[in-house]
Amino acid sequence: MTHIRTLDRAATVLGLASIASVVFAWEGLDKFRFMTIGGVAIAVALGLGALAVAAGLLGMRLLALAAGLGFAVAALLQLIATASGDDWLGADLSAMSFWIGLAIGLLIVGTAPRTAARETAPESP
Amino acid sequence: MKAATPIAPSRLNVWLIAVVRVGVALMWIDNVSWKVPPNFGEGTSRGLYRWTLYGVEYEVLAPWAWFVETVVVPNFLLFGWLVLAMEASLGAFLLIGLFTRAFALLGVVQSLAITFSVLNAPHEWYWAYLLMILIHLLLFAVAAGRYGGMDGILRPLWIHRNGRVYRLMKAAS
Repeated sequence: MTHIRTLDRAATVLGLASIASVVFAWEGLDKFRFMTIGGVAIAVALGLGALAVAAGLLGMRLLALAAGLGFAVAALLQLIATASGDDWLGADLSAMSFWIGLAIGLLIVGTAPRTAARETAPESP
Repeated sequence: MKAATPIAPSRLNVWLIAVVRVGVALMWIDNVSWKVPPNFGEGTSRGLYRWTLYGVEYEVLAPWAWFVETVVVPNFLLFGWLVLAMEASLGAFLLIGLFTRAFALLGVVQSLAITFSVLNAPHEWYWAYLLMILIHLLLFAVAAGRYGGMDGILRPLWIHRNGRVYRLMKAAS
């Protein structure tokens, strides 16, 4: 565990965040429902999240890239769906913002040099 | 006067800074949902359009009210897309802790814009807006993305590289 590269761990964390976001499918969260996830979006969150977790655990950059591209496409589709008034994806613009973050993070993990970044103590600001 | 010792990167501190950063990101993410294109509430007097007009109806700062009335409102659709892009980006980048110092400053700018628009609107708690500004200043000051964020992973890659892009990325993180 101590030798897992930080980039791989980042992919795992981003994937777990996506899987955890399924909690926002629960309407009972009321004002703490920070984003709407439902319908097809649940499959997006679970499927791409699992792909990102697998990418991190197996250290496979291609899987991280695929998951990142998947989230980018999902975010774009959600924007189009909301703007056209036909929310077939079952999410909202908050989920779009969340997916953009996951997409950027996973695309960076997928394209960063693998000699990179073992755990280092943060520098002073 | 001797400089204070920088914050100790204990496990607890790292977690707390990351929690605050992600919490602020979720604030922006939560509030992206009601900036709905393509009209952003224009024509219905709801949503972003209504809140933008508050800057004129409940004036906080005369130059800001003039700016909203003469520049923003006549070009409202462009403004709506800019706000959507800005706030969705703030949520996304603060969430993963990438270029966190740059986005913390953008957060200050956007929080100021919101403050100048709604501070005097009915039922608004002015400390909410002051706290928004202050928390982004804190995220900037501690370079929050270096604690459990992508900045902390990527800066070691950038730190010994030269060139304008790397200098920019280092400054932004």
